[in-house]
Amino acid sequence: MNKILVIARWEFLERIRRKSFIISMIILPLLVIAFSLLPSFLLNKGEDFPLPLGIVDFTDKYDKDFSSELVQQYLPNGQPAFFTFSLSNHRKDKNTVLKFADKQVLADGLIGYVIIEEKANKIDLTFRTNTIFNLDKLNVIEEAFNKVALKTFGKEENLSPIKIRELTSKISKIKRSYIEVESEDEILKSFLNSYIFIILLVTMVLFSGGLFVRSLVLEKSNRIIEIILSSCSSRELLFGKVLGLSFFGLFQLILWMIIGIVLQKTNTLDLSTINNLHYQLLFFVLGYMFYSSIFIGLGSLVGADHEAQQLTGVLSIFLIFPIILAVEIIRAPNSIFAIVLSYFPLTSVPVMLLRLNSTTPSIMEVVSVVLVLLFSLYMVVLLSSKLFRIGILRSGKRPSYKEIISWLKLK
Amino acid sequence: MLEIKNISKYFNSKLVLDDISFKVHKGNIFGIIGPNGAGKTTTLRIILGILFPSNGEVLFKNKKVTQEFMNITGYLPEERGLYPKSNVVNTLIYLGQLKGLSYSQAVEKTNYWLERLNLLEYQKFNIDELSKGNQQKIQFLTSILHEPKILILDEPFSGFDPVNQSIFREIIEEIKNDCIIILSTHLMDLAESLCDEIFLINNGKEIISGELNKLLKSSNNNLYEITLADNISSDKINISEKYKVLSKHNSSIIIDFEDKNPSTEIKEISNLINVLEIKRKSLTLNDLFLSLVENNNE
Repeated sequence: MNKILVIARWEFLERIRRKSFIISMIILPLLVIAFSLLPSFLLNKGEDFPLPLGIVDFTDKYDKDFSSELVQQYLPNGQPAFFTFSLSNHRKDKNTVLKFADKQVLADGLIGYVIIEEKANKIDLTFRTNTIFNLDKLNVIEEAFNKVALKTFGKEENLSPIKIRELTSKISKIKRSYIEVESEDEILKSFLNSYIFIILLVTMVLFSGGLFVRSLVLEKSNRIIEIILSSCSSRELLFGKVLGLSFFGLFQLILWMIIGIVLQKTNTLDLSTINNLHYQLLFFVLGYMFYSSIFIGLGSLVGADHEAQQLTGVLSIFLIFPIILAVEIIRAPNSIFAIVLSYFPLTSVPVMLLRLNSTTPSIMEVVSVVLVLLFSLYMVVLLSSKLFRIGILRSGKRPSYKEIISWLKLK
Repeated sequence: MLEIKNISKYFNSKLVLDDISFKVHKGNIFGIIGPNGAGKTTTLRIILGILFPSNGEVLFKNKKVTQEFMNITGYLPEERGLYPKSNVVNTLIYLGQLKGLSYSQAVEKTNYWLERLNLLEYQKFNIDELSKGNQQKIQFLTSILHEPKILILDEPFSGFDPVNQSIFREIIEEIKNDCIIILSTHLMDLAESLCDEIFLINNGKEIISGELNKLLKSSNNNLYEITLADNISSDKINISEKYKVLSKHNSSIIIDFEDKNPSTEIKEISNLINVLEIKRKSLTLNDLFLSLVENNNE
C-alpha cells in the first residue's frame, strides 16, 4: 500500500508541476466561462429594453399595485425595466388562463409571467418562462411583489411592523417554472449546457490521459520502467498510477467547482440553468474514471509518442461522437435510440449528459445506467491490469492483436 | 547467499533460458558473461522479479524470495534513462522511497551521496539540464542509494566516461564486502578485472561457471600467439582446420595447440609460411570465452 501511495504522490505532483497543467488551468476556465455565458447572452439579448411581463393574479388583490410597482423599476439607460399585462380572468378556469398565458410567452408576446396564488394561507409566487431569465431581474420582480404585499397587508390589517414581518415570512420565494416545449432556443440551451460538461470531460480525459500515456511512453523508452518494476510489482505500479491520475482529476474538478461557485456568487455564471446538476456531476466523474482506465490499459501497449496521439484520437471519437447526434438526442431524449446509446458504455456518459439537460430520467434509469457504467469500469480495470502487466515491459514493435488477445487470456 | 535454481524461461514458445543454476556469495563480484542475446538480461530480470521464470526459483538465504526482496536489490539497467523533466533530488527521493526508504531516510541518503559525488549544487536541476557525466552519476546513485544487499549491474560501464568508471569501480570495491554484486557484461576485460566468479552463458545455456582464477588456471593452457608476415598466408596451410584457432586479427593469430607438441607444430608452421614472431600466451577470459562459445556454437 505504501508504494502505491508513493507512486500516486509522484504521479500527482509531477502532473501539477508541469507548465502545461498551469496553462490548461487558465485556458479551460476561459473556455467554460465563454460557453456558460453564451446561452444567457443569446437568450437574454435585448435586456436593455423594457421586457413585456404578464401577471396572473388568482387572489385578485395585488394585480394593479404590483403592475405599477414593476413599471417604476428602471434600467440603467433610464427606460422602464418592464411593461406589464394583466392576464387575470376570473371568468375562466385556472388551466385555461395559464394555457392562454403560456401561448403569449411562446408567441414571444411576453418574456414570461408571474402567477400569484394563495395556497394554505401562504402566497405562492411563480415566474413562468421559456428562456433563461436573468437572475437579477427575477430578484427585482420578487422585491417589487414583497413591497406591494406589505403595503396590502398593512392597509388591510393596520398592523405593527413586527406583525408585518411575520406576515412577510408567509410570502414564498419566487419559483421559476419552465414552459417545456421543443423550441429551437430550448434545444440550443440544452445543447450548450451539455456541451460545457462534454467539453470539460473530453478536455480532462484527453489532457490527463494524454499526460499519462506520454509518461508511460517515456518510462518505457528510457527503460526507467525496469528500475521501477525492480522496486514494486506491476500491480502496485498500475494502482499507484490510477490513484495518482484520479487525484489529479479530482484536483482539477475541485478547482473547477471552486471557480464555478465563485462565478455563481458573482452572478457571472448561473448554475441553475443547468438541469440535473447533481446527476451531471455523477456521470462526469464516472466518465472520467472509465475513459482514464481505458487509457491506462491501451497506454501500456503504446511504444512511441505518435502512437499515443493516435490512441488519444481514437478515444476522443467515442467522446465526441454523441455531439454529432446532439440535436436528435435533446429533441427526443427518451427515444429508443437515445436510451440504447445511454447503455452502451463508450457513449453512455456524453449521451447521458445531453439527455439530462432536456429531461429528467427516472431514478431507476439513472441507477441502471450507473450500474452498467460501474460494471464496465470494473471490466476495463481488470483487462487494463492484464495488458499493463505485460505491455509495460514491451518496447519497439507494436504487439499484434493476436498477442494482445493472448495477454488478456492470461490468468 | 543468493541461489538461482533450475531457472527456465520461455517467451511464447521460444526457450530463452534453459535450466540454469548458480549461487552467489556475499563479498564476491559475480559476472554473468556471454554474447549479445545469450540470456544475461533475462536472467537478471528474473532475479529482480521483473520477469517470472517459466520454471525454477530464486532463493535468498535458502528461502524463496518474496515481495520484500525488491527492497534489498539495487539495479543499474543496461539501457539508461531517468525522468528528464524532474529534478535531481525529487527523482532520487522517489526512487529511494520505492525501495522502501522512509521520506526522511531517502532525503538523508540523497544528501550524503550528492555531497560525496560533488553534485549538491545540482540538486534542484532537472535531469536533462545536467551534463552527461553527471547524469551517469545520478543513474548509478539510484542503484545504491538504499544500500542494497544485492546489487545488479547490467553492462555497468557502457557509455560511462573514464572518470566516472574509476569513481564507480571504487564505490563497487568499497561496498562489495557487505553486498552480493552481480554484473552482466560482454566486455571480457571488465569482467576479468572485476569479477571473482563467472557464469558463462550462451543461447540460454550454461557453458561454464566457477571462480575465475581457477577456471583460467585449469583450462588447457597451450596457447601461442603467432604474428605472420602477411594476413593471408595463414589460409595457405588451412590453419583453422588443423588447429584450434581462438582468435584471428589481421596478421595475428592465437592458436591452442591442445595436446599437441607446440615446438613441433611451430616448426611446421614456420616452414610453410612466413612467421614474424611466436610467443607463448597466458589464457585470458576473452580467450576462454571465445573458445567455449565457439565450441558451443559448433
